[in-house]
Amino acid sequence: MYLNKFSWLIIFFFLSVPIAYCQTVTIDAELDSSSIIIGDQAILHIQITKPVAESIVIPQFTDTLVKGIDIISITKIDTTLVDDKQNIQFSIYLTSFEPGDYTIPAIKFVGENDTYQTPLFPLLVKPFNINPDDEKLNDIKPILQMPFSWKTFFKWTAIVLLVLALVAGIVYILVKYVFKKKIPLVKSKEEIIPPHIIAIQELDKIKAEKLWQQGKVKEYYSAITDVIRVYLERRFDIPALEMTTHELVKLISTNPETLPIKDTLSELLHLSDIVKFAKYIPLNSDNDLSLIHSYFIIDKTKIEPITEPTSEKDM
Amino acid sequence: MSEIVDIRELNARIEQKSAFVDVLTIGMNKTIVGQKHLIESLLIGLLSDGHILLEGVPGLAKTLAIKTLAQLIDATYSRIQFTPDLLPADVVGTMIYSQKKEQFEAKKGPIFANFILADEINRAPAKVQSALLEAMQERQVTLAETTHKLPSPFLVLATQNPIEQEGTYPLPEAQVDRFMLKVVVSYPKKEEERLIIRQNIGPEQKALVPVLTIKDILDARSIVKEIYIDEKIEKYILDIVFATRNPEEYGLAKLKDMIAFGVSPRASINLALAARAYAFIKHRGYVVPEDIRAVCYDVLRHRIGLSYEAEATNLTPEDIISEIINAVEVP
Repeated sequence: MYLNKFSWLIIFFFLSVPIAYCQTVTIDAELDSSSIIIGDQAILHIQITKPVAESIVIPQFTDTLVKGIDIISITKIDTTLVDDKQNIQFSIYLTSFEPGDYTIPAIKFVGENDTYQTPLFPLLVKPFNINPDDEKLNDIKPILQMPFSWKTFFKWTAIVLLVLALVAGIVYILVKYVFKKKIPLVKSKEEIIPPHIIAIQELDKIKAEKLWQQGKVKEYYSAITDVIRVYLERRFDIPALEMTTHELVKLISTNPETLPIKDTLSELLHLSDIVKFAKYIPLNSDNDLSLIHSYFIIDKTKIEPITEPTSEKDM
Repeated sequence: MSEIVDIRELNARIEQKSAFVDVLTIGMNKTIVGQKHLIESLLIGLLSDGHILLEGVPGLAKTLAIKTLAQLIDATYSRIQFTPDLLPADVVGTMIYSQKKEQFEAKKGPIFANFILADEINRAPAKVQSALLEAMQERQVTLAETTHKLPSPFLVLATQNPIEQEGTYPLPEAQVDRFMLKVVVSYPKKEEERLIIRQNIGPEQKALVPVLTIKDILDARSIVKEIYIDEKIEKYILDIVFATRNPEEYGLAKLKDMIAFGVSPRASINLALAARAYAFIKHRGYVVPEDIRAVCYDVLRHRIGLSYEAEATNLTPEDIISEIINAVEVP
């Protein structure tokens, strides 16, 4: 069966329509609102459908689309493939701060064979309705109270407990394993030596050195007064090393606990002062007496430590 | 051993020679009620040849104190009221043409006296202040080409008012440093003020009779120079002075940012001199740490530069000095 020329023409026509359709670029644009209040936003959605093989140029946008209409932002271009077509979608966020009637211009997309464009959109930017007769000023709105939520409460309680447990765990590990040997939390019994023991040991040492017998009288009195001052500082927690003789004697006189040593201390310190600062050479008996006075001061004010029973027998 | 004998002999001599201090103090107490510290400071300045800057509100017997001291010592006294229009020539003097002699003659200013009261020194401009302070330092004044020695003893007592700072010319640190002591005069106690009222509304008191001569003061000064300062005391002075410069070395790191600059070597010298004079007043031939403590505030307070942080936290030089003397070990 042979077809005539007309039949061939009809067949060609029906076959060529889908091919032509496949190669068509379409631009769909939609403005979500035709009117906004000043400062509000309107979104222009644009969708380009084109054959995969064909390329199309999307224009570079500036801050302003047209005078009075500003571009706030442009979303990322979203590309999807449907069969042999490519869909390109993006949105432009627009705003305006000048009330009036605007026309959003056509946005042109240059293709390989043609130039395509979006339709024109009217946009009305409305001002706020301010009633000039209404002079009442409104205060700032109060802070909104969030509704109580058990879910949030339990969530935050759990977080706080978790953090506390974590901190406690870290502290425990540090104390138990890291600082265990370096920093003892409690001093051992041997380390706590009462101040009077140290002072007596020091005085014994001075006595054994026989300083004044060697003519070192100044050194002898300096050493004695240093021992006494350090002892008083430790025993009564007073800054005895930084106090003058007068200040120290005055302070000692105010404390009933130290009143018995007041005269002895005063005599010792004043004698030491003239030896140290005025090159006074005391009698030998005075030198001995000064040491005796020092032992006396310590003996009268010392605190005997309470001895703990060492065995069951002691108990 | 000879040194030991000297100390004993010096002690005895000082006890004898310093007896006039009591006479002078009694004389001053007849006119001035209270203000023991002010009187002691005047004596320290007098005995150690140093000048004094007094700070206190008006009416605290500052003028009366120095006037009384001058009367009791039979010395000349001048009072210069510092004002914004004062000129250096008004203080030190000037050259005036004598028509009779047909030549310029020196007209000495009020500074040529034994005791000078520079009242409200911060009210005069810097050029007048520096003219006075230069004369204080050099103990002489040059008019035209002739240099004139100032009389001896020469004690300047400058006053400053801590209030009404508007329109004043505060003394620069370098010039304040030339004052040996800065004494803060406080209000009298209630009982003292009662006596002041009675003294002032009662019958007029008899004129003061001089109890000392200038020669006595000059003799006392030479003895004060002999007062013994031990090495330990010197170390104590150095520790205090260095603590103002490097507080962190004395366990006072918290003061590091509070002190803009520490005291000068002039402070060390004056601390030693003032302590010696104080020991003399107390009839002692040697200096003890108490003497250093007694003069420490007056010698150091105007020499410590406070930082902005210190001023912002209302920290005073006195607070800093207290911290230092409470931290430095006493020998």
